Amino acid sequence: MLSFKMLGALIIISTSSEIGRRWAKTVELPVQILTDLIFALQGLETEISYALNPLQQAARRVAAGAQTSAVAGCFNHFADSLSERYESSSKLWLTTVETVLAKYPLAEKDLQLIGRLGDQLGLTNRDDQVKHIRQVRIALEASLAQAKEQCERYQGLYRKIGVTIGLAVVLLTW
Amino acid sequence: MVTPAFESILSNLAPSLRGLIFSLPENVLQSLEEIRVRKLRPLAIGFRGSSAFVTPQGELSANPAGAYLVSPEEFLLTLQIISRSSVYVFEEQLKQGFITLPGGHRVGVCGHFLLENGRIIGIKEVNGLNLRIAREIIGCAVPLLPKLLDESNQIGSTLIVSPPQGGKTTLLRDLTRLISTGSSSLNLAGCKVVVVDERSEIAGVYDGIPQLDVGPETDVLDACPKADGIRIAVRSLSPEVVVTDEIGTEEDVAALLEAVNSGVRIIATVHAGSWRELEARPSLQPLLQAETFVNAVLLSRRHGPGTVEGVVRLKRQPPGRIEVSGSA
Repeated sequence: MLSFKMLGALIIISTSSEIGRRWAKTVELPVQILTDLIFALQGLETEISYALNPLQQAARRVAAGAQTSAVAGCFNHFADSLSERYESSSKLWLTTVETVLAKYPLAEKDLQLIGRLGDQLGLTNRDDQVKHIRQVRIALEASLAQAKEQCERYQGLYRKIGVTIGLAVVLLTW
Repeated sequence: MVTPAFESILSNLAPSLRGLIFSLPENVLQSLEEIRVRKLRPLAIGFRGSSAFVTPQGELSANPAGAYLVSPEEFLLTLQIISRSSVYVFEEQLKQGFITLPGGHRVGVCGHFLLENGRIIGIKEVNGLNLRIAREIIGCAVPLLPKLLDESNQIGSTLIVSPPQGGKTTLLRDLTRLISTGSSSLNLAGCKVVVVDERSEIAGVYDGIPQLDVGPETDVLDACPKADGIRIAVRSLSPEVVVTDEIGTEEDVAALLEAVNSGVRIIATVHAGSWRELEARPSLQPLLQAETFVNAVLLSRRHGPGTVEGVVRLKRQPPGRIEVSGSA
């Protein structure tokens, strides 16, 4: 009988710990996406300033080098939508952000910031494009620092909460 | 009937502007030469050597007051379609004020030009686009070709003299195609031709491929400055004939003289309304005095673009004067 109780307690604690770990991951995901996005923007800058690839091809190449499904999906979606010739690139980028990135746990202000990238995308010369992309990248770096701070603060907390709730349930039902 | 090629150039316009152009009478569409899209100004077209404004009802008007005004959004969308949302890709072309489109059509671009040390480094605040429809007239140089052959039945260096919009580039392109292909009826073998196409007008290269027929034995130095291009061609491409458009500067003339002295034949065009006007251009004097050209073709718009006023043979007479003889 005791061994059954012990086994049950173990299952409860490991389940609640896993839930805590998953919560912790949700605060880690924005950090991963923002980090990947910053790398992606560096890649886009290179594609535009050195390779001189048209925007559609540049977006496709950036997507291929992305580490997260969020960023890869975002740039692939944008490249696909650029085939639609009769819509402005800024509108297409905004639609992409709303369709793809809004599904991920990113802060509203970060989504707005990423959306701003579309304002001048593809419509000016190389130097202006690089300046514009860098501006958005620098702003994203500030967001990343905040996201990392939040991640460090809440990641451990969520893990501990998971274990603590499991223990509490075991103690109450023992 | 609207051809696929014509439809392809109209597909570069914002849908609302495209609809207006498509609604113009068939005979106007057939003779359309250019479409002028200016931000917040009336939509205009050029056809049969004249121009007119397009009304919101899709009719032509000489009065700009009742014409369709191009909105900033329509203008931006047109620019975006033309540049494939990648204006930066066309930066080098934009410094020369144009973008080449698939099919060899060209878009003249107006805006604020940026200078550094007196040289154009870019353009911003683009406010006007002039879509010029490239017309390829295959065979237009066929009647001319026999008149340009020398005693050994080889093409002689030829200068095509024409006023603006006189059809010189169309004639030059077809001549290039014929020289490159050869002609069995004239017992003329195809030659290795290099086209130095500084303004991408002769071959209309897009994505590295000539969009207009310049012949099977033709290499194109696209967007290459004429003087540099002529030297590169002679040094590395062993051409029999070098073709170039709109010569005018002292550098062009010096490079042409070098090429001729290397045994290369030249086919070139120059802007001038008459032989007298041509002789009045100081930069061209060394060319005229050095027996560079064997033939000169004089064009006008008298019976429409490409009217050949005369083909003349040029001979140098002591002490360096040019004697003009022969007729059309």
